[in-house]
Amino acid sequence: MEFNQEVIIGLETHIEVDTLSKLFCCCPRTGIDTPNSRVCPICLGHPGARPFLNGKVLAAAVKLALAIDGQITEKVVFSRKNYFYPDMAKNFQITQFESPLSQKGSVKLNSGKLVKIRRLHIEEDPASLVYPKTMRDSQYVLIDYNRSGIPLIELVTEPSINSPREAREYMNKLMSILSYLKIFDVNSCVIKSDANISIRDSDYTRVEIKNISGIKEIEKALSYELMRQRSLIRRGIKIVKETRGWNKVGKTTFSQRTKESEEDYGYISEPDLPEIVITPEYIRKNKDEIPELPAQKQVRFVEKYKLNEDDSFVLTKEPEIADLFENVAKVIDSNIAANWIRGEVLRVLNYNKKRLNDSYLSAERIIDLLKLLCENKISKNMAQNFLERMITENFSLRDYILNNNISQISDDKILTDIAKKVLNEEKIALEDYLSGKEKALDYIIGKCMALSKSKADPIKINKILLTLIRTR
Amino acid sequence: MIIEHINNVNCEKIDLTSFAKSVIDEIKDINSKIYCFNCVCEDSALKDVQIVSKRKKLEKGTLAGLIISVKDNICVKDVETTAGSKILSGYKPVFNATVVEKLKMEGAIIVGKTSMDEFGFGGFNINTGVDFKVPLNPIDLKRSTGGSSGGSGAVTKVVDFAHVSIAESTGGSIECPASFCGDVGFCPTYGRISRFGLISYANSLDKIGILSKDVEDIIPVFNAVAGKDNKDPTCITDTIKLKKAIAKKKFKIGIISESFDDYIADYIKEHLRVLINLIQKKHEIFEVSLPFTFKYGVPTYYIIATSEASTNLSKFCGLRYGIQADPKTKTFSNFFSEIRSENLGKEAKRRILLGTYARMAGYRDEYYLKATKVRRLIIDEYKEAFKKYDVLISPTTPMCAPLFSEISKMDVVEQYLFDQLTVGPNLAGLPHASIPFAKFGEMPLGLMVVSDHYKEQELIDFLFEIEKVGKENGI
Amino acid sequence: MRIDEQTIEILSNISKLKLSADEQNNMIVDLKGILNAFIAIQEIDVHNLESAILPIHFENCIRNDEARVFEEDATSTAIYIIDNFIIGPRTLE
Repeated sequence: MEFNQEVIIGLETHIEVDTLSKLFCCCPRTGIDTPNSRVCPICLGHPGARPFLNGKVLAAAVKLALAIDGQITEKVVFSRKNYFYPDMAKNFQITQFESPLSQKGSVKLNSGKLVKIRRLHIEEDPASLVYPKTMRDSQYVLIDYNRSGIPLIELVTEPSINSPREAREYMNKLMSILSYLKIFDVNSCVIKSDANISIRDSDYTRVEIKNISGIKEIEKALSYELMRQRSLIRRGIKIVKETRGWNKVGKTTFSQRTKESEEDYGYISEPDLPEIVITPEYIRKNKDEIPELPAQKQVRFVEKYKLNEDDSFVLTKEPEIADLFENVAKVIDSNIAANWIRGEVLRVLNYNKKRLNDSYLSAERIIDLLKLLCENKISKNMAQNFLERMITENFSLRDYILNNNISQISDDKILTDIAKKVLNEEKIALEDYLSGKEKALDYIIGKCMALSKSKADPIKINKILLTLIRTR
Repeated sequence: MIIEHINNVNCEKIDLTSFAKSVIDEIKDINSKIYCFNCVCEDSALKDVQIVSKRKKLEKGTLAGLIISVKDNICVKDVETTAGSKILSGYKPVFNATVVEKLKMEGAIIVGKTSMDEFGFGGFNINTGVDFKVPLNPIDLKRSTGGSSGGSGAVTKVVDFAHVSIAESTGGSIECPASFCGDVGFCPTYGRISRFGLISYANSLDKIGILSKDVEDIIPVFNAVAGKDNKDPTCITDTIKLKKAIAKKKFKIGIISESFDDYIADYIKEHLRVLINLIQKKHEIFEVSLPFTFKYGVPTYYIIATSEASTNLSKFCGLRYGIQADPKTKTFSNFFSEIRSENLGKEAKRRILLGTYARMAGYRDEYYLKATKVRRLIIDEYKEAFKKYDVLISPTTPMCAPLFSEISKMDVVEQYLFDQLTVGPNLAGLPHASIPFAKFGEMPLGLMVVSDHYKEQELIDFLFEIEKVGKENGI
Repeated sequence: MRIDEQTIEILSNISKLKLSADEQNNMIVDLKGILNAFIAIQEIDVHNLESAILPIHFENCIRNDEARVFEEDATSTAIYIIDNFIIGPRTLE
């Protein structure tokens, strides 16, 4: 393959699928964390036990393939990838070598660039290894087979990503699609990537960084590695083709002997799993279950709600937020709704480290809030405060305001009375203001707010005071 | 013969406990002479007896009180299951194979795990694992029982109580011992009986089957164990129940012309001609040649079987079950290599290396992939034949049970070629059986009968015919 | 690939077997003999045939996504256990 870009990156991502049971056995995928508590003869590789495919994983993989416009194979076949390692229950991994479930898909970035997907396939996770000390100093390993047999979908891109930032954007787009398809649960599923990176100055010598967890770390790891390689080139040192690991804490990549280095995998078809024919009906059924995807929704929001592209992009990243916006926009002006949701709502959720569904926020309550704001019954400040509380407290906003008499005072007559009273009492401050001390007005406004128990509409009070002072 | 016994047990005419105890004593005695069991499971058997005895009269099961011996590669919970290999010594499965569950549900009593070639690797049962004894043919102790279900073949012949043996065939492992020991060895369509709990040799070839004295004994056992299993996706979902043939049918029989090839013993060919003469009186006989099967069957079989087997055996590395060693002493590569090399037998190592070679990058196309395509040719060849004929017949083995001294003179290729007559139906997953049809001196000779996929009833019907012909003519 | 000591060594490494010198020599002879005997399979033309991985077709190859805890203790067959972990040999020299 001919390269001419300065930086070439390819990503191989393993996505844990949100299911109740593992890929080939009925052990619970999530639950008690005690080691080896969610295991059975199948995921432990006992002789005589054999695999049975979880249909939900096949459906999830087909949906993902459809969402990225991939070509779907007619027959689903599995392979045995053979190699010995302590984390392998059978010393072979059941995966899809010759016929992956899907090929030739793509993920579109905001710039319009298509990150091409070479293949998408289903495979099982090995067990997890725990080292009693560091990897180098441990005399033995501790094996936990809870992870053995967890269902994974693997996505391999073509080496068509050209910067760490693009890599991160690709991962974000992917996560978006996964949450729309409901095949990835952020609380229980893991997403890990191996990244290949090479630069023109090294004649595209490929370095692989293995096992990068999550999304943010991808950009950090690739940026570090890019910097490391460029630094070596500047010093005249050759880049070695190798496998490296990512140290999340130290924020560096480090050289690593790969466990599968020169192995010959000796693939054969998995004879315990008969081929499954993917019928047009099966594809149609799964296609019908796919909701409107982020890319389409983004375009529709711009057209229907007259939002700008950036607002639309932010609002469509996660399906719950998009739905929240649309529900609120049924009642509230779409631009106000957009501003508040992409601004305040998301900020407050992030700050409290909560997802929308984990909070007491709902479209109805936000509509209530924004209505009160638009009716001038509460100030922007008050709205922001309420929003904070609405995350963790489930109270009726209108009732609260009524019962506590918190409603913002917007009535001109009441405000004028307050202003007059304060001006009468604070003669010194008034004289200070009239003689040029601007700050004295703030003091007077402060006194008005205090008198009104912070309920006065601050903008109105300011106007009324200035009018009263002028007309004295 | 077993049906009468089962009825007696159901009617509570037999004291099951004392019957079982005397059976166990008898098999311990037999075992001391011919080494046909790897394990006699007295405690487990008596537990089975307790359970069956407690069931209501007439509701004890369709196999109530039937004594079963199980080939040692089929998992019986809490009973040592080794597949004839030292690397699994001490392995007591935490689950029953589905076939075992079904047998127990119908009231059968499992008394022991029979001797076998290690993991099924062999046709003479001489490739027993490290420290295992080779079983002896009960008719002539200097001869082989046949393999790899040699223990099953031997015990089925020698006992006189109601018994069948549950065994497994990959390339001929039921038919061959049936032929050498004088039993009926029955192997249904691939996938008819669940393989969950069978320790795999070659997953696309392994089939569980039955060895018995008489054809009619197969019927209730097959009916109890065949059928859909929610744990095995390679298990046929349609259930059939076999019946004893009532209608007298005229069969179109294809005699495989390769049965008269040079390497097959003259005495076998003579007896075959005699048989053909006898059955010609009632049925139509045709000659049919299967050139692809006989030219390419053996290499195709060994390439596919060893490719699958070499991956199946990778899990045996001294962790989690069977023979284990202290893992704190070595790196994984050394740990695995040492424990495998010490505890796997010669033939197991040979098949692992052969299978690894056949699927290696660079050789995979030429061997593994090619063999899977030739398999398609062989299957098609049989399907063509079955468009015209109801059953196909041939000898099961090229000679009667050989002497151990004769086997020791065979090199490995000659041993592999011995399977020539049995690999075909196994590759094609066709139902087939071996039934005694003649004798050479004292040694029995087996006739191999093959029917089309799913046609076990036809096969059983024809076996009854042969049995009848044999009785009528003093065979 | 010619079957020689190097071949046997490569195969042994891949399949985690350590053979003695005698075993190696025997293995060379055996494998050569076997592959020779199998040479017939090379001559046949199968390029337009589909592979037969299983001899018959199966329906019902997918199960529902239902979780069940395995009722027995599946790790009871393991001897070397600490704190519910199974002990395994180390991965580095």
